[in-house]
Amino acid sequence: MPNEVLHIASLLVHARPEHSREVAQWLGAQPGIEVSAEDPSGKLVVVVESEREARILELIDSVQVQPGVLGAALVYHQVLDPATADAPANPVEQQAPAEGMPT
Amino acid sequence: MKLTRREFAKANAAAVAAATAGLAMPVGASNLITNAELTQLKWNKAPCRFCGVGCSVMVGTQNDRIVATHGDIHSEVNRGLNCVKGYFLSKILYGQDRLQQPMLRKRNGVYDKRGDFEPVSWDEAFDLMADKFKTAIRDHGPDSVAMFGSGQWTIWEGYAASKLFKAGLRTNNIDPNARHCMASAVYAFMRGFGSDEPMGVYDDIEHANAFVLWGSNMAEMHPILWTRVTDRRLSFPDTQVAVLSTFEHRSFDLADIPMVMTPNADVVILNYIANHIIQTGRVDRDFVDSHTNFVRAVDDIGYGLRDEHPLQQAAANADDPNRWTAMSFDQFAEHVSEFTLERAARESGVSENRLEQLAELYADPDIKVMTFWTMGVNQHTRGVWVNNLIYNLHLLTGKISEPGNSPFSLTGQPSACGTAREVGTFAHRLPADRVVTNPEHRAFAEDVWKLPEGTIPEKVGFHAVEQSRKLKDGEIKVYWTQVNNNMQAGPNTQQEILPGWRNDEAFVIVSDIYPTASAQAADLILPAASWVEKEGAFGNSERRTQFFHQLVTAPGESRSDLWQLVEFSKRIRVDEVWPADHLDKAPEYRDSTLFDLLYANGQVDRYPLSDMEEGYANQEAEAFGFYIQKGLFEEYARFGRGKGKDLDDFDNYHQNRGMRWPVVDGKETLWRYREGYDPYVEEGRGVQFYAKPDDRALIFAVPDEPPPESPDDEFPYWLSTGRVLEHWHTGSMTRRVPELHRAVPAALLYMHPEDARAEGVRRGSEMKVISRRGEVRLRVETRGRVRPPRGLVYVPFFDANRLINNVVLDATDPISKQTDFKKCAVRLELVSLA
Repeated sequence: MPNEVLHIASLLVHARPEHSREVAQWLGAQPGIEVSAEDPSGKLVVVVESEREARILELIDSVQVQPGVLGAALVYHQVLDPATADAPANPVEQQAPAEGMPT
Repeated sequence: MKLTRREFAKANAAAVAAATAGLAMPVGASNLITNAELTQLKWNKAPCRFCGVGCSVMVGTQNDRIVATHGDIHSEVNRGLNCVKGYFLSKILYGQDRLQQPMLRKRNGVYDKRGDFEPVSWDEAFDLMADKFKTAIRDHGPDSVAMFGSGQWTIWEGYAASKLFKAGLRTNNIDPNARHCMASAVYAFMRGFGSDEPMGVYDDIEHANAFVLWGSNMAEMHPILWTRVTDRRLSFPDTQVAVLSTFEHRSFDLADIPMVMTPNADVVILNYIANHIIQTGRVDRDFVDSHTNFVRAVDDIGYGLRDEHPLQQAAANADDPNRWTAMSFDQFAEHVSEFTLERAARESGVSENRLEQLAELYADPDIKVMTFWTMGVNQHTRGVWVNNLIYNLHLLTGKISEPGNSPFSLTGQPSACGTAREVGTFAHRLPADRVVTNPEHRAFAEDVWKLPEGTIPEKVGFHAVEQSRKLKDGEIKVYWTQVNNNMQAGPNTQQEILPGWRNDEAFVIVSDIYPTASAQAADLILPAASWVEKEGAFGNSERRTQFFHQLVTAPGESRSDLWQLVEFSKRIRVDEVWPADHLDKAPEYRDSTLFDLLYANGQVDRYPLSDMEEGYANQEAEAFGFYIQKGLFEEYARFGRGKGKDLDDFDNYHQNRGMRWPVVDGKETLWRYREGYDPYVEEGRGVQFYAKPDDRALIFAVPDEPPPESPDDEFPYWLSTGRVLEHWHTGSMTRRVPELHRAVPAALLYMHPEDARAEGVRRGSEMKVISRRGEVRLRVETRGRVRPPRGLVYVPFFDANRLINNVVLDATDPISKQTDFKKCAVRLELVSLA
């Protein structure tokens, strides 16, 4: 494992519907974070990119204490080598993992 | 669309999270190619390696290395979510100090107990081990060797180890670390119901309208289940959550009925609730009359200390604490009538109002109540009693074995149920609830194992804490531990465990993946393979058995515990460890090795390599030349079939997300003992506790007895210990992830701000925590996640540099022999104010 690694993670944040917009705005203002999807029931999909894992832990902690947030759970985590992160993905890598496993 | 690796990973991350939430795929993710055949990241399911919840995770590998994980959407347990511990699974195998070859203490080229660790070959390691085992057994008998195993063993590892010791070496001196966490739960199940493990399932969460946490911090320790409880609470606003503990923790955030009680007051509270149910006329008499018996447990049972301890000497029933006599309902009602609300409030420190609210959750027939408990109940000198007292409430009201009404004992380790309990790797157990003290049970096991009558000894082996004592006393000469870190996790380290391990009489072998406190205190270290470096099976808290394939290669010369046990067995011949009179019963084994006797027995070795699923490596099967995991599993499964513990066929588990036993005709069982759900219940019976001879569960009358040690003038504080979320147990894996380590850098001394003020110290001050046994230095924390009441301090036990277990008393529950890590008396001394 190279010492320098790039972490990509996604979180599912559950907010009270009436606070959902504010939570999304707060999240959007944090560095390295994208809100990729949200729905009216208060669910938000958040993608985090960081060279420090602690950043991801800190984010979970700070999300959980935002007003109106009911919970934040991790879903996905991948470790990338920063040296090759911006190379084109090999087409054979381009596959959504959720579909990858027979059920 | 052309994506960079970074963009591609982010799109994947978003897509999986969206699918978990049931949201539409985000833009970008929908453009991904979805042909599984073409992928370079290979994705496979595996149950998480950490706690007993048994979440399924998808593991992404590339170039023989884990590079990604995500929650498994197809898992009924976690439904795509994952907690922090599971999240770091990708890195836990790759710590820089991973053990990669056997290491032996040597001086001048030969083994020396006082030597330094030097790398050796597996051959040299096994030759020395075999010599030590044979010599000890020849000179001191089979009870001079012992093994300490784990609830983190895979099912077949525990089974192979149990067979090696109980049948091969002919000693029952094998015990799992689950003794420290689940033994009280096991004994209570056996006493009350005649069969181990919960009647309900996690699905109860979505049916209950009240939850009671009884000595459990689920929010931090079982976060995925807590998410389900939270969802239920928020979706159905009438749902109530009661949380009872000796200190405030994160689960209190959701509590409608928060309660902080004095240590040891649980017996009084539980008896009060039974009294309340009776006094208010809410006993379900039909249920009680048809399905239960009332019994009075023997009292004055001592504290599981050494026999010569004055508290043991003074206890009338210390020798035989697991007994009871029949009593009537009226006698039971009279017994609990002494436990009034006023008394419960006075002795527990919880207000009458809250205690009554709690009692009503059980008493009110319209409330479906689910009770969760873990170490607060089990690690208790009256742990078995308290488990039984919880069942009392569910039995008196008939709130059991049906959706939403569920006493649910939670588990700490991934296979404490599947391996330690079901396989029976305890010093007194055999597979599927059998025990070594029962001649029919021994005969059954000997028959399945094709061994002569009398092979399995009748004598119960040394349990965990006893093993430490016997090492110190020089009675155990050879000691092998796998997948645990008892030097750190066990109680009273300085006075019992370390002197035992470093006793000149003892040869100590530790199999592990990292140089833990235990490995460093050993004489021989064997490098192990972990988790998906081998094919495995775990059993979770809700009776779900889950399999995983070997997905990556273990580093260097490290090998799985299964390989270590079975390969080692080739070094010992039957006639070197069995006495002549026993060998005469089976002369055909005279020239056999233990490998031939136990594993190449025509059963374990009956499945060829061609039975393995294509595309997966399997180090052990390839090494031994047969599909050993399948052979061990199928032989083991014979113990449970027809006994209410039926497992599915081996191959099915590699395809499904686990099945909850009993699995009969390919169907799993959600609610045991209830007609319509459990195939073992006879038609027309409604409810049938069929593992008891008269189909009735037991309701126990027990008194309250004082703890072995309480605060006094010299040691004025209660000390309680436990975990924090980011580290599991002793932290031997999670502490390898540097960032995770930094999040909670060192164990802290959590105390009440007013106690800190009274001691003249502040947050950050360094203090000594001193008990009658030892001391440890810690920094004071007066804020944060754990908020003790006045008079109690709390210390987590993950930190190898601050071994709180030097301080803890090695008192155990006298019945279960499980250690009480939750209460002893300490004093505090200032080191530096900071």
